[in-house]
Amino acid sequence: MKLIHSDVLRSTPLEVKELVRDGVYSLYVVEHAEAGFVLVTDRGDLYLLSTAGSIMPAPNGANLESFELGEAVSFSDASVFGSACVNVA
Amino acid sequence: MWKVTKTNTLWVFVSCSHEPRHLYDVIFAVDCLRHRGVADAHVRVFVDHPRPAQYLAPYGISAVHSIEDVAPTLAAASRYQHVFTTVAGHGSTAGLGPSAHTVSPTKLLTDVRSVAGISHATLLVTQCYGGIFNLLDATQKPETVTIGATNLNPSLSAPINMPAIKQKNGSDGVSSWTANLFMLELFNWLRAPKDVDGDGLATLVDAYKHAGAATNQHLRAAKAGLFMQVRRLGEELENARKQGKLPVEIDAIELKLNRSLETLHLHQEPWLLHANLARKIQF
Repeated sequence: MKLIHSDVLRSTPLEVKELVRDGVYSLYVVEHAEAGFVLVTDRGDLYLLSTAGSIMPAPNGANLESFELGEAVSFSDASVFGSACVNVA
Repeated sequence: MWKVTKTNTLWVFVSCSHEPRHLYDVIFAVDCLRHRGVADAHVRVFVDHPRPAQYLAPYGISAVHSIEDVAPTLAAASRYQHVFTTVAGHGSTAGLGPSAHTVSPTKLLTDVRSVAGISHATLLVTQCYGGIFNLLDATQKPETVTIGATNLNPSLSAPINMPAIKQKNGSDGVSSWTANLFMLELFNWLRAPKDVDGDGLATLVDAYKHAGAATNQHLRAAKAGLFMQVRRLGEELENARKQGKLPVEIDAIELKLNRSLETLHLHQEPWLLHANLARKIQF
């Protein structure tokens, strides 16, 4: 699983990145000429993201099977919003 | 009394969800079991996520099956005295998963009880409407303890930060996600069991008491921040609509707002069925 700093996707809206960090939206590395990532929302809507995080619509009729997906992605830095700190035993 | 050891219990996870956060819940739980010395051979994971390997394999979780395989896989298991089944992911008022493929409480309990040779079982239901699993016949053989994170209402998750869970290759993995708090705290207790009620024993009853209290402490702390977050997100949503932002951004703000509202206003009350058996199961 790939952990990147959220600043890498500088063109992605903050709330979208938060939902990826939350584990509500899915983000995958993808082998694609124009995109570096595929974003999947909780409703299953697909978007392509450039390597800088600019969001582009996925081609009509595309689904997850349409792409050669690599690693799942999340962020290495903590949420900018308040989060509970869990003390792991 | 009966003691859970490293080898006498089969640990089962069932998660109906396409959201990665529910897989992160399972990854943390398995990490806790490994910390207890439980080998991966005693763990089975059942999911309906479209790409589970991308999330689970980096953490060395490889015994992953589809939800449809719960019954045959458990029926084929043997050599265990106890089965500890954790239900993660989404629930509904009819049981687990989407309405078209709902797994009813009776069906899941029957599957759990089908493991050959077990003396008793634990069913931990952490999903929404977990109370649907309450009030079944717990004394039917093999007897079953059922612990519910919540009753007949949604189960609450909240953003958490913790030390990164290590991946199989030694690199840091996830450390921040919206976790199912009750499941997280119950497995945090299992990582290092301790007596909660002062009887000198660390039993399933103590696990329940710790998880319930810790969950509500997290929620109480989270609600203060959520009050301000809801106000900010409400303004952001209005501005985003006025400014004609991308639908994906508007949808994200609206979703964050709705989930924050839900956590802010709902209460979560855990429950336990068959306390007499739970008091006898030691860790």
